Amino acid sequence: MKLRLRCGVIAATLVTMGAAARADDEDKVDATDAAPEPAAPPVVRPAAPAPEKFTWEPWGYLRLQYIAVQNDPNVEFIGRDDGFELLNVRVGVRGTLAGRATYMIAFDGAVDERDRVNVPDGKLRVGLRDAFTDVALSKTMVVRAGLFRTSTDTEPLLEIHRLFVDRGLESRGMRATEGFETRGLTAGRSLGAALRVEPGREAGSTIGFEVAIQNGADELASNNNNDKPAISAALLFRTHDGDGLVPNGGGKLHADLQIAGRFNPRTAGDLPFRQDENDLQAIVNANIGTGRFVLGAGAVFQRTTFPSVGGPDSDAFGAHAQAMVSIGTAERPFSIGYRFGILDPSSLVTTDRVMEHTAAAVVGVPRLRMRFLLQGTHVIEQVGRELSNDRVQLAAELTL
Amino acid sequence: MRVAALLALVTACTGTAAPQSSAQRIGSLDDAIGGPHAIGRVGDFLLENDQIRVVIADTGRAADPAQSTFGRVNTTYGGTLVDADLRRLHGSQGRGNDQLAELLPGFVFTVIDPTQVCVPNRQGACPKAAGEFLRDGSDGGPAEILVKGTGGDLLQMVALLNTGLVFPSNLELSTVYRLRPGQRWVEIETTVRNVSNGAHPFPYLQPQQIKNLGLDIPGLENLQLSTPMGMLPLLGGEQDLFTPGVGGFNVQYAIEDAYKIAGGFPGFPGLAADFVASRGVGVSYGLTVPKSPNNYIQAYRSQYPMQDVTDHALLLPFTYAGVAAVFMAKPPDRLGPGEEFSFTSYFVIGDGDVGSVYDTILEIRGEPTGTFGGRVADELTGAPVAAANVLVFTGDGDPLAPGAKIVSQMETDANGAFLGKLPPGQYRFIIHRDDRVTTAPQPFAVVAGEATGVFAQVAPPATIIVAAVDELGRHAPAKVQLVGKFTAPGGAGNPPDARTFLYSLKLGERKRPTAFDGGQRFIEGAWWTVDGRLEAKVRPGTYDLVVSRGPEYEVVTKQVTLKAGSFVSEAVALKRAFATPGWVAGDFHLHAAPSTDSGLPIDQRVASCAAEGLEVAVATDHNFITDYAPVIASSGLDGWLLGIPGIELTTFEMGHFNAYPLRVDPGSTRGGEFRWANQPPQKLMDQLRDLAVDKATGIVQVNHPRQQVLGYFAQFFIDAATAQPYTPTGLLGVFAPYGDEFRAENFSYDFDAIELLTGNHFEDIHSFRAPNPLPPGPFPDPQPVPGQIVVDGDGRAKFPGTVETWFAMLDRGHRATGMGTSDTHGLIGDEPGYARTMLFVGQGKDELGAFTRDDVITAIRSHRAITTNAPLLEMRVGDKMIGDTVVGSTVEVEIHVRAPSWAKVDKVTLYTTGGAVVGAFDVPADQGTDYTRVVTVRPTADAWVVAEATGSGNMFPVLTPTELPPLDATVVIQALSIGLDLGSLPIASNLKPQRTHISTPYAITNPIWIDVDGNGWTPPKPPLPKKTAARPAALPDIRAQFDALPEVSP
Repeated sequence: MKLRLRCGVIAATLVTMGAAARADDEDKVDATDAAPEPAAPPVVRPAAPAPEKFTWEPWGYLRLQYIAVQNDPNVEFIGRDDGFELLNVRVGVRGTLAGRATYMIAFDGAVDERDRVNVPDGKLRVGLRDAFTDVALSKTMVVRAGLFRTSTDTEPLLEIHRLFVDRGLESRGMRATEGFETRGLTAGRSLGAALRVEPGREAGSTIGFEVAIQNGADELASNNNNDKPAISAALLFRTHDGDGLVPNGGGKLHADLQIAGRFNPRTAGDLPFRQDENDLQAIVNANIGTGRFVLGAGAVFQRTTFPSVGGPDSDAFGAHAQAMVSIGTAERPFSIGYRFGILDPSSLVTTDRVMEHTAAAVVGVPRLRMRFLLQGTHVIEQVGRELSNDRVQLAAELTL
Repeated sequence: MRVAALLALVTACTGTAAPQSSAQRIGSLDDAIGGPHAIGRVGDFLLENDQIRVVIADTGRAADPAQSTFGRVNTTYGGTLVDADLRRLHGSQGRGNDQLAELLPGFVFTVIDPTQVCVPNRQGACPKAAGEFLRDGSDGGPAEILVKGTGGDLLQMVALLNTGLVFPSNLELSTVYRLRPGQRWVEIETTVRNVSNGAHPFPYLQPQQIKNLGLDIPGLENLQLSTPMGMLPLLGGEQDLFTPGVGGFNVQYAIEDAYKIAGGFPGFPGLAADFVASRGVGVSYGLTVPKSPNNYIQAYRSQYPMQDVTDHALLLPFTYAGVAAVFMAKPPDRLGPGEEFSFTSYFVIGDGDVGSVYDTILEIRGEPTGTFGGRVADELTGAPVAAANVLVFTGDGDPLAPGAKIVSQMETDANGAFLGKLPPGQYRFIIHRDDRVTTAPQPFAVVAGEATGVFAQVAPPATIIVAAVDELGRHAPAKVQLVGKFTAPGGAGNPPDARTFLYSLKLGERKRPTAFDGGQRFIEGAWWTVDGRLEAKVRPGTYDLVVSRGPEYEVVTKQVTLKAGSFVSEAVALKRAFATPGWVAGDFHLHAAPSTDSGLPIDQRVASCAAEGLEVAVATDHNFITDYAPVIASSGLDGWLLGIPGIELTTFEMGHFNAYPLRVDPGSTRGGEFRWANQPPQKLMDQLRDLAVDKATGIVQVNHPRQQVLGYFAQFFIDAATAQPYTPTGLLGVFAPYGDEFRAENFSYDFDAIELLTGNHFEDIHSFRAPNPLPPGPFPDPQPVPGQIVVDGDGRAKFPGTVETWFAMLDRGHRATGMGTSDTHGLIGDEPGYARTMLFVGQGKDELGAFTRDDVITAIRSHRAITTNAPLLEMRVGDKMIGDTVVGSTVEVEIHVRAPSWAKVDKVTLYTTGGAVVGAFDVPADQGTDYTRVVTVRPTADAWVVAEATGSGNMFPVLTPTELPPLDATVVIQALSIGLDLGSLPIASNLKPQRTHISTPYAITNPIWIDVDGNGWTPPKPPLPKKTAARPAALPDIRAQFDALPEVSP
């Protein structure tokens, strides 16, 4: 019974930790991954009877893709590096500490490192992705501390099998070799602390929130880049009919809505010329599913001000909307879907907007803990910087 | 109470300590600064705070004069500021970024010969006992270094000016370098104290008195002179000099333009500037002065018409070879006994652009400012544009329009951001990078206390991708160039002056050499690759892609059209022009970053050598022993290039001498220890041989021997007809160096090689002949004869040639090997390998790995060498070759010249003893790349023969022309001569060698010696003496004459 309860707790946790947990599996550096399986630490209730002092569970996944990008006839660094790419080699461990705390530590061996913008030559390196602990304050409230991602992304809050090889355009940005390289707008991991309340797992409508304070520096930065922290707040609303939280799991209605804001006063540049830049973001995403259908959308608006060098503020906007339908069975899962993405990195530049139309199909092989994903993307750059850079991606995922 | 204690504890533990300055003697090299030009070492003085670090050299004196280190720094004496850098996070232990050559006070051209350098005590004097309070900054106040001494001549050649205007013998000169915490500038307080018993006027002598001493210039007695004082910055080859206003980065030519509007004495001619700054990679420097009633240029404001003379004005009378003068102070008309006069300047250190220096200057002045900043992005990709120049100027239109004045230059960082302070006002800005089209001017306003920001986009560059292989299919080192065509506007001259429309030195743009032949070709960009592969960003346009690999290969040309944001990829196969069995190509005079006047990294130097087809590269940095071998290896050029460590021993006015191969002393901050100042030539050469790997075989080479100031022969007045020193007369005698080391009997012939052609200095090869017809006169006597060598009043060649001097030495049995070198300090417009020396190392040994450094040295010592900038000129007598001796009274000399089609030869000349021409032969047009001629020579006595080949075609774009003249002495003289009558003086003549020209093919062999009677070769003329005759006592000795002057009464 205890075992079943624990499994139930873990399973529930894997689902209910939702965005934060799965977002934690994401990689904001290469920004192309999709979480194959939940990978959140279990929630531990303060009142749980005589928990073990220390538990641990290894986990991980590997994601490999073959990508073919059209060779743009004019731009030499786009489309001429087709081939295999490791998107993630994630391994980690999660567990509980003394019944009141959980932890998560994960590394990725496929962090894509590039010296400059728009260079085709990347290097793989190992990087720490997650390192945090949640300490329960009450039945629903935890304090999280360490290296983690806040609930300020535009990806759906709740999903088990993501349909697409890569994340939404506004979140991952445009990768080198696929177009003119552009950073995504949403925040990555950072060192800090957060007060969190997850929405409930029970049927009905519940509300959660997250208030976080982080360094706001680069994901791999060992410390803050100034004296000012990044602060964020997110409000999460969830409703479902009690048939489970999996939208395509045969249940009825399920919906999530997240509204978040983030303020990050950054400092860029090298000594002695350091410049303060402030990002103010508003993020919204929603996900609604019923039966075999799931609709999702997310948007982020960002205003950047430049108090050091002066100059006009820069507004950025990005969004995606997607639909997916599950056709297969539990033994032979098969889904197809469509996603529209848009990213306008700067209001100061009139030609930098990018749009994507993506069609995808996913086949799962549960007994091998594998999935295979195929997607094609038609990319539309704005007039003045047109490219021929449509792409096809075939990915394989293995959950360890 | 407990809370207060806790707070106090927290404050104590976490509070930031107040920044401090410190001054101390360097006890370990780890305390030194480091960087391309760092020479600070143990025993020197380090002055530092939380912002900057500088090194002031020790005196250089020693109890034993033989142990003194005069000349260890760039100039003669110690006590100067030699290293300067920002304090860097990782800049400790000598890993800084010093790019400054030197900074020192100048009193006209008198400098301090220091007797003391110290951290002063409370009284401002050097401490006499241990335990005294020192102004070392430990009290939170400024840290100081005191330099005190007497006057010394920066150049002996200008001793007349120093002694006549300053008369330093009666003066004590001192400088305090003062650094306060938190400041990015060093306050330099310079003091002149009269230590005589009488009054000391400035200028010390009146013009008539100077005239009486020998400076016999008509009208001199009517002038009123002045005594400018200031600083002499040697900013280093990495730094681009900048002055605001009309100069911008075009300081040298702006100074020459200022000469043309000079108002005459008492104001020395030159450029008036509000401040002086520079631009460099990661560090920049600047000079400014406070408002002062003693401001030199303000005192003579009316002598600087049409120039902006501000309250902080500086006078730049010249900048030459990396040395500038910045005069700022006018001393009082006289100093009474014991009286002193001080002036202050500020030496500023910035982070690489002018803007960061200007920020500090405005801070020093305390004037109201606003900021101007922003970000620069690529118009196509949106990526930030780093290292873009944001040029701020005033005026209504273009920055080059009349009336436009450059205010500042800011450089974008890796994020494309820039920021700088400006005084309130209306400005415009442009953005330029050499690989992009410059933006249109945009207006903006700066308000005091407010920030003005912009977001700017620049058009994208194009990309050129090239892969070149040689005739064997190897990815060989090669040079890639893009050659464009321009349309010159009216008034640009013929050939047009590219500076007026193709690029702007004022804006700091890169030079784009033109063909300079009346055509329209120019070089947009040039790259020297290690493996023939290139990917480069360039300005869009239609170009000829030109790939070359030195004279042994033909050039390959393809037209390419490069569009903004697009790329073009080309594969190129090089074709060999001719084979050179047994011969290897070497350049025996190369400079790179260790030279103070070169900013070129060593990896680029070795790549450029390999790409130009050189197989031997001898490092010859100024007073620095460099070894290219490690960089050759790390560049993957081991299979292409042999590096030989060497040096160019650089004296201030005795000439320059190369030596190789040398040992590198890793414990020395300059690769080895030597002394050049105040040394007679033989001691210089002895030192060089002591530094050699093998004293017996090391080569000592005389560089550019005929160049004024820089050339050994020129400075010793070597007669081209006799190869011996003579006594100059007239003004030349007045301006001759006076030191004992310059006495004629000290001239030494203990050298092994002579540069016959250095770079593109064709004008130095042969003695100058008057053109036919003559240009408009009048000419000073003796009147020139068209087509004949122009001579002076003594009948000697007025502009003697190196080759004629070499011939005279050959006649007298001195067998110095004639060499061709480039003396390159940069790349484009200063290509390595032109000229070069072809050396015969043995049949089958001309592949790298098959010949050794010893083979190279042996070839030089055997005179098996050809000086050339392209043609391979071989000469044989039977089975004997260049450098050999043949026996016989009738010899058949076979001359065989081969050349690439871009360097065709059209004339071959054979010389013999006395420089007599045996024959001069026109080469048929269809044989310009391969021509053979056999000449019969019938000497009556032992003789030598030397062949020479010339062409008249333009070697552009492989070799660029000399478009921009060096500092034009005539312009200087004209500026100095306002109020004088120079018409009768030889220096005023405009009959002189052409200093600007295209580059044409040239080659000259070393001799084959002909032993007529078979009893050994006997010099046809009397051998040169071991010691030359003593210079007659009549030689003007300015110092001696001044010593006889009566002291001025108070």
